[in-house]
Amino acid sequence: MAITASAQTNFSMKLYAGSNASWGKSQYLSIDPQGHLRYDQGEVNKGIKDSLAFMLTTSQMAQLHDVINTIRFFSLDKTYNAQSLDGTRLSVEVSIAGKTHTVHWINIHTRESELLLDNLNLTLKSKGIVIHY
Amino acid sequence: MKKMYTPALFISLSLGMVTSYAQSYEPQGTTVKKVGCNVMLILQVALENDSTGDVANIQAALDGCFSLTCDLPCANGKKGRCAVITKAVVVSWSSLGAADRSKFHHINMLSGQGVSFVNSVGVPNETSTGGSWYRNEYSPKVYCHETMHLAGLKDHYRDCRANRLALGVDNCKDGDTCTAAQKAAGACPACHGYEDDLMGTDVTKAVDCNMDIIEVLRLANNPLNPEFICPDSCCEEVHRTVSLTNPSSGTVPKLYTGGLNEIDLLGSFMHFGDKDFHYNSWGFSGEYTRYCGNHPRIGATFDAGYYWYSEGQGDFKQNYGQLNLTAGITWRPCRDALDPAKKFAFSTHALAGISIYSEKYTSVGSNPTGGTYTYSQTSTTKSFTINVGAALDWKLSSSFKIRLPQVDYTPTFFYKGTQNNYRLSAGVGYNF
Repeated sequence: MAITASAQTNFSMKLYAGSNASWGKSQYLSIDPQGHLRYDQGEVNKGIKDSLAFMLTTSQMAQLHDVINTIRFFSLDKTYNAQSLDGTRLSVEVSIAGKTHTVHWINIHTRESELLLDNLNLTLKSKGIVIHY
Repeated sequence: MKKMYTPALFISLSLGMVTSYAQSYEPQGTTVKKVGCNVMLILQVALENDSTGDVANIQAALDGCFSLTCDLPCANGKKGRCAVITKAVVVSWSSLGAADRSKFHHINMLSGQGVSFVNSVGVPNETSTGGSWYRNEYSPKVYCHETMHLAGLKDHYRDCRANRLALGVDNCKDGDTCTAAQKAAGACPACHGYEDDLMGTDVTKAVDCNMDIIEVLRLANNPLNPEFICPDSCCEEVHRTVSLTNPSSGTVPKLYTGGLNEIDLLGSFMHFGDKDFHYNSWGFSGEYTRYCGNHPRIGATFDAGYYWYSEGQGDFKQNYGQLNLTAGITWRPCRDALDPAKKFAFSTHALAGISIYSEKYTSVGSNPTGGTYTYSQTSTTKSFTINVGAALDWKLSSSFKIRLPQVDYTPTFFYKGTQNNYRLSAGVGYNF
């Protein structure tokens, strides 16, 4: 079971949530395969204002991996509402077993983006982090 | 006698009242059209879910940016009667009848803080678009920035955020890329030339006649003419000085209003000669250029200069003089040369003509019978010459400039050889 658990959590994620314009707030989040999480918060053109780094547990990693599978992340389109300008966006890059896929949601929320963020925010709740766009 | 209003008369009066109150709107959200000698740019925006004060606030913000009048010069560079006049109309969506709603960009007002957006870039004189705007925005100028998107403009900043780079977003399209520091910071620097423009990185900057309004006209296949020149029928001698104010920046928005004639007076250093015989001489150069009215970046130039050098040893003295007369073409490759807001102008030229070279030898000797004698000999020869070079001007005003330097390659072919001469000049210029 331990071997299965470590195989299931073998993924990495990079995320940007926030302004799609030249002003406004921005959030950066990255998770490596070992569960190291780094979070940066700032404003566009004004730099990073706040940073946080900590470890996710194996079960938290497994939960995130599950939601990535549930929303069929690798089958999603590359961009949603690409013709929209300014506003806010969510960009998520996930790598699993050598495969990488990036999805951008621009001024639009879909069932998949909502599910992903709900799960992620549940994981980050104890650290006072809320990813939103 | 008591008057009785018949039903027909009542209906006519009612229709008349409805007609007199009915607004006349342009057929789409962004309109560019020619009206006499002017070009009108009209932006129509309708707000849905608006609260009390939204229409007035948005109208005031857009008036601050778009109550503009931009001059269009005549072919001779002088001011005519042509202008680009911009106007924004903001109404409540609920006040519009069904027939008028498609004539407006449809904006949904949102409460609280957020980043406003538009659904897509507008196209002048085509279907209206829409978006969502936050009531509590970063700056009222954000509404001007968004309205410029509705008018057809894209962003003019280089987006160095990692995911945007991966999306292939290239707003500047100038071949430059983000520096490592810009990528690390996720910065959004303005594209070159847009540092003071609201479509650059700072939305609080002004709407600019030359950068923004002209770009919208280009998107609308400029109804005046592709060179943005006021036609002859709208041009006349204008002796008054007209002062126009851009309310949002306090500057006077102007397109090219310079004259087509230019005189430059320069001090020059001329290196003359070949590997076997050469010297450095000094002198003066004068140039006259007449630029083409329809294409003021190209002109015909006449250049004249005289350079002299002398050397001596004891009683022997040699004087050299060179008179160059050349004519040809001057070209100003960058539009900045015509933009009164830009401080520098670059030009290149290719001229050909004649060089007249004179040598005078003078020696003072002693007479065997006493006293001295002076012997001198002068020779003059001519050669074909060319003058290929470039100049950088610093514009002090629309009339005066400093030439900062001018560098020329001016070979001559005296005595069956080739002298690879070069000239460095600096001086002043007057444009009229």
